[in-house]
Amino acid sequence: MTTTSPDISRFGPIGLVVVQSTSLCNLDCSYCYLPDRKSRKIFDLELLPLLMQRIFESPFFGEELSLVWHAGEPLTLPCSYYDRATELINEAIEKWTNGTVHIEQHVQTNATLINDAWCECFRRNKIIVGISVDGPKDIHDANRCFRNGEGSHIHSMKGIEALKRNKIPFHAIAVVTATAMDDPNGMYQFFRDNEIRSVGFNVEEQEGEHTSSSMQGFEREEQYRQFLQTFWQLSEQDGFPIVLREFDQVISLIRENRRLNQNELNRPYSILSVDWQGNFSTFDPELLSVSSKLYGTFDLGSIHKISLMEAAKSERFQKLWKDMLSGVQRCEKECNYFGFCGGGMGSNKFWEHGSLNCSETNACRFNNKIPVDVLLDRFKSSPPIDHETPF
Amino acid sequence: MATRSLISLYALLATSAVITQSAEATVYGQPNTSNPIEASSIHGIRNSRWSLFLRSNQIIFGENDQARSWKNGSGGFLELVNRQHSSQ
Repeated sequence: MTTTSPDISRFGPIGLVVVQSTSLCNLDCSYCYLPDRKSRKIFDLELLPLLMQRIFESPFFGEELSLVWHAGEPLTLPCSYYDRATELINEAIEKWTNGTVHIEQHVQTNATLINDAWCECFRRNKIIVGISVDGPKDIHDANRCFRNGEGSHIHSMKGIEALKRNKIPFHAIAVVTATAMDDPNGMYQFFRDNEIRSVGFNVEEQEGEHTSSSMQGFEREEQYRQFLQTFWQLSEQDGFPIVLREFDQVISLIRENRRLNQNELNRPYSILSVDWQGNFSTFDPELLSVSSKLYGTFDLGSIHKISLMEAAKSERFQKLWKDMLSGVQRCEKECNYFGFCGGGMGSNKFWEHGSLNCSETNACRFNNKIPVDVLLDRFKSSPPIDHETPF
Repeated sequence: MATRSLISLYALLATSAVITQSAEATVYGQPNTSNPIEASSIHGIRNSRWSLFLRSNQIIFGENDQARSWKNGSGGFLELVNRQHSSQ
């Protein structure tokens, strides 16, 4: 059932398309939220032209967007899958936009399967690589294991070596758990010594199948504050060899003297997520294929049956959007950090409070408030270290 | 569905450009000076030695898209907006 046309001036542009090329992951990380990671379900590439059509027939696309192969381990598929995907994407861009749109492909991978052949695949398909590695071996292997319990660190490091040997640039995501809290020096040295320049910390979350987190409570918050303080201090002493995403976004906003009113996770059709069957959703990719008593499923439909515009008129979308907006308004009213966040993350609101219509979460404190506080405290405490290279 | 005509393509691109521009206008705003964080911390920082660090430097800070919030993958929310903004 559909309702009246929504105000699409508040939607898009689609900056990120997350596609589940396969549900299968060769690892079984203790904090993973994906329910189907043990089964090998594959996004049929014959669906890709239809997905591109759905995007380009909508009013929500811009001149550039990123397509991320994610939500499973994308490298459990063969290189030829991505070669064919590139062909189909390029054909669709030519067909629907006369070549005026640029789509940048990305993979988010655990790196265990990366070898020289994969590096060549990344190069010829211009795929940007993000890896998931949690730090030194003991910290990484505490959670990132194969199904037989064997740690994956040695395999991830071989993948990193292959990327470096082949001069493929990459960035890293590290899931931060309580295990890492006691060793900020080891964490920093790992990324510095392995020349991993761009790092994002994903603090372990209560999410999906993963119903509890080791990173909850006031004590952990204080530990994480000290952890980030140490990380910044070590990096500053070394002339900032590592750009930490959590600090970078805050610095960027201060530098530009602007703040957020929204973010991509609460602006409809900024993100489009598609599962292996062609079901799609917007807002947080983690909400794809999730069902609840309050909202039903977060999926808006299947690309086989419904356009993005039609989905935006549906009652299901309107209910989600109404609660999402209301939740963002509560954030704006209640939280002094709103300008650095833009209204929180719907998936965390849902998993922690059961609704999108709420404000602060545990994830807010770890992902936003603490990094902002650490950075501002450092800026206030003393001038920057005077390195030979002037700022 | 048939391939787009050139006119419909231009119409669509114009629509998407409107969406992109309105996105920037609604996603970003000015700092709220009545916010205690702005008043007590950031105003002072902008007038301290850190202001040089914040302005421009050889260290690659401030390159991330500011409205990127999804932590589990890469990509570029409003990258287009930012690029268009910086090229104007």
